[in-house]
Amino acid sequence: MTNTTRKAFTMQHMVRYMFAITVAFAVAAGAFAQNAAKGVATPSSATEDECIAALKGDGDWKAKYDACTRLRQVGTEKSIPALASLLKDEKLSHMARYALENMQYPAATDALRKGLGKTKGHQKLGVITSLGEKRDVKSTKAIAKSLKDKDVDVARAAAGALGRIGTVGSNAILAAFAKSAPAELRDAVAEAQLTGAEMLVKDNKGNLAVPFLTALTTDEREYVRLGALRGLAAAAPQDAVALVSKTLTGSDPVAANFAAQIVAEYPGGDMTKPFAAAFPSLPPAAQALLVRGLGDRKDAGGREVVVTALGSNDKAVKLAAATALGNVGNEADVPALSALIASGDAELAAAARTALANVDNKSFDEAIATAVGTSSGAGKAVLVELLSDRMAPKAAATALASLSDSDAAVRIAALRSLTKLGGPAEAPAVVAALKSTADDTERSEAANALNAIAAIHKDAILPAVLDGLKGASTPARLALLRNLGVISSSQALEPVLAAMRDRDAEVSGGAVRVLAEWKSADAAPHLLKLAQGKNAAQKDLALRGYVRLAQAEANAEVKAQMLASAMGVAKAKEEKWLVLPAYGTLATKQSLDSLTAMLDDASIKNEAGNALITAAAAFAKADAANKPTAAAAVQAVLAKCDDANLKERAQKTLDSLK
Amino acid sequence: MKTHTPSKGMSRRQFIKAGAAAAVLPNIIATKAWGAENRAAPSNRITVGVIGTGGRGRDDMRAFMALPDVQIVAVSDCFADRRKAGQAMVNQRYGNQDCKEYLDMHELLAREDIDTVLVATGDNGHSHTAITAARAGKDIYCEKPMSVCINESRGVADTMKRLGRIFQCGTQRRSLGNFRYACHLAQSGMLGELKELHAEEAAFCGAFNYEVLPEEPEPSKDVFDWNAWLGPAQWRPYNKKYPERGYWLDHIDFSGASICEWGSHTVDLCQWANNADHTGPIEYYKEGDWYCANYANGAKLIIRQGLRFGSCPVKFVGTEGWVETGDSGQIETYPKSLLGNRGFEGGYPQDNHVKAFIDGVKSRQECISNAEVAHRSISACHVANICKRLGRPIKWDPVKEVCIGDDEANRLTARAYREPWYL
Repeated sequence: MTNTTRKAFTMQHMVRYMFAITVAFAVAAGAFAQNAAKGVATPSSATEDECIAALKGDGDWKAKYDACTRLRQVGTEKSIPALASLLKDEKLSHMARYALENMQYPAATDALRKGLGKTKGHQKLGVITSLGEKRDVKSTKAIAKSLKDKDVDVARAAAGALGRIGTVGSNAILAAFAKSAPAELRDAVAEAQLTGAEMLVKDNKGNLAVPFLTALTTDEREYVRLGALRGLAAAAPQDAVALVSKTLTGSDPVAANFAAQIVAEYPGGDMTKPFAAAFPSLPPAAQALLVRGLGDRKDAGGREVVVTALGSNDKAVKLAAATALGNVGNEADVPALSALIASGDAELAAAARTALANVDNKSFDEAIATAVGTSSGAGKAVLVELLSDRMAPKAAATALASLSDSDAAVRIAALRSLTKLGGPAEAPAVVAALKSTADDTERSEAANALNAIAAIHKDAILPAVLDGLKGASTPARLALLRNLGVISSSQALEPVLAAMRDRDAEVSGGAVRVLAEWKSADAAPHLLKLAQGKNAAQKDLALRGYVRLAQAEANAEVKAQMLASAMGVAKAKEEKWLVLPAYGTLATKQSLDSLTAMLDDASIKNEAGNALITAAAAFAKADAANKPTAAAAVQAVLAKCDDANLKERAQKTLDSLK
Repeated sequence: MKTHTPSKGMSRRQFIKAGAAAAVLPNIIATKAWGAENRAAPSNRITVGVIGTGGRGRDDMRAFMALPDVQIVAVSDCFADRRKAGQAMVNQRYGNQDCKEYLDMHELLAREDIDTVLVATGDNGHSHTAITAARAGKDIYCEKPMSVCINESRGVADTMKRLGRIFQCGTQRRSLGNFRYACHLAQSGMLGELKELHAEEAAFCGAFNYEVLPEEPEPSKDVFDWNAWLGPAQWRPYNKKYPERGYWLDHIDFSGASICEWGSHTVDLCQWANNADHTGPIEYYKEGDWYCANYANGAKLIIRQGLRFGSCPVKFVGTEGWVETGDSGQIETYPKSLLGNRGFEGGYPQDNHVKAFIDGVKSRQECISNAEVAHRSISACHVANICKRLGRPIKWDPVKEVCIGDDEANRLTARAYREPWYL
């Protein structure tokens, strides 16, 4: 089955989902417990005057902290002097900045600027950072002095702030400093240089950033070169194509790949064609990267060159083009992509298939349906399945028509399509396909399709299945019987029971296996009857099926009766072992009593003890008043069982019951 | 305390260069030399350092360690027990003692042999750790939510772009079949014109918490590094409740509560479904019990509770149909023909998402949950939270990323970092 196929609720599926749910509940339960435990404080509603008074007063750290927090939100110019007075405070400097940094008043910036000369160490670092955030040009010289601060962290912050200020002057300061920057500052200065250039571009002064960025393109650090490359392309749009072309053909493969990403992300639809125009002049490896970038731009303006690239003799270029058409292609490209699918080259075929599946363009559906009519063999098979992947309106009709194709691969593709989108209307044709083939693979695909339809539409397809049983071969009958098991309704049961009496032992045996897997309780009496019979193989299957249904039974009384019946049928210890775990799901006093009695049977006491612990824990959990009874039952396990692991589990359960 | 890593060479490892030279789409560098266990030879592996080895971090680590061409070589966490548990897990997986553990993440980041970093700290640590890692030349897989406020994730996005780093946010539902299919239906027009985008918020979170807890004796740094955990957030004395996830998840200084907790996934999916990865809604308001937002294209985002199909469900409604899905894997459409017999597995594994990140590291192509995309999604959550905190509608300019005509709201979009941290 494929990922997109309706799956039966497999054990793996169940385990994964139960894990997800368990984790979600665990998180939820933990959070609820936390919320219940904490007193959730509300935000302060103090007035600005009250906050200012708190800042000026002799209150403790917390009072001033609260005042800063409140002023961050509601403070006006009036509060700035009081906040500024805290900039030197070791514990509260950052809280003052917390309020001042987001204020748009010039006075807030003035206060920070004045604070620069009055602070040192971390407080100075913070003030520098805030001035950088505010892009305060007036601070440039003062901050530049801090590049040589003996505190390396302060010097790094100064570099960062100069980068954010982002004027020609601050960039020049950084460029000059970079030439002799100490090793511990080099990275910070380089990043700041990139930031500074970026700010110039943001301020529509990209041309002024070009010299600074150009100098960084030969830096020994890769990330600096890449950053400079991206920055330079943004700073000088008129030179972007040449820059990208040069990099695509350069000797640095990481930069070349990065250049493809620049093509992909470069802003402005009008840039697509200039980038595309570079294609003919590039060598194949660079062409492949350029085409990748054009595809990732998702701009139809790049299609023409991508189509040209599809005709390349270089496989990498061709592959890039096939992939890119998934983003920029149109319906006219369907024949070429279809041809690639049939080309026999697995990589190209896969790329073409992905492209055809991905295009969010309804006009592709019609083009692919047309291509189905003119194709054959493996290529046609892919196209038939593609239509269903795309949920194309003609997908079901195309699949139905393809069921009679002379090529088995096409018929199988049609069946896979119907697995995804077939319904009651298509069921008779699928049944016919299942009956008509002598090939096991094809029959298996037909059965998958029919089961997928049955899982959703249940009894609606019963007439088609029952009709199909008439005159069917043995393998086909077996497949149809299994399909009745998927339906698992009362109406579907009767033909299975009838098949159990079939003279063909393969059919009757298959029917028993279907009955043993039946999903509804209707099958229970029939399974019990089989379990009481003499056919050992049938008995084992039936007992397992019966216990499974008992375990799933929601009504405790009915479940108890079923388990008692099962124990009555189970003679050998191995058979009893099959039944006992199900008792663990029955959290009643009666269950505890039954299991406790079984502890005296040496052949099953450990299995009974295991179930007893599970049932006792559930019994106690249901009602705290049950704890003494549950504990007594577990005590009995400790007293009568001899398995060390079991006894350890019993002791742990007993401890938890206390 | 250092703000970032000392200078060192930042070049990518040789094998990436060698592979990239043989550029065949999708330009993933082929690892030819395979060692034991179908794993790439050591010289061909992408190396990973992990910062944050709590429950989620270790879950992510399993996904990384499942990849044959990836090797985790170092872990860091401000909790000693989590750090040791992460280290033991890695060494057990690889059958050696090679994984090193660091209390100070800067020491891990200083290692030149580490290519990428998994950031799985608490929410308060995501942005500044990712930025610090980028400054050390690493590519980054960062857990969600990406930030505690808008200027932080803007800082992450700008830094990744500036330094040419590959970034994947842990919004792994973008890599899961049922959510991808739902978004495909919305993006392709199969639902008609999109009208409503429903995003579930986490019901298990509480109201915003603003409290400052009483001081308690601070543990030894060898047991728990309180200052590192607090990071750029406002300083306060230690209390053992702060680092408990169930506590900080609702605390306004450390996280974004219900809207950010699940909205980082569900609002993110709505953004994607609406082809709004590089923008966001333009006005936010409360309607009934829910917080809503309108996009410029007319679609309405509804952040709510009560959707079906397990955790993190979403529902997209168009003029011609709708689709609803969640972590159970169940998916329902109207009309039913939009779904056919398709079925999807439940759960929310990150394996595909982590694999896509490693592919991006090799090809230098942006990931599906890249920093800009993740920033836009979490921004929508943050603005909704601001609307909630202030109790009034907010008009938002997604180009300038400011609240229009509302200074008080704008002040809540950014937080000044506690020194010595800086964006």
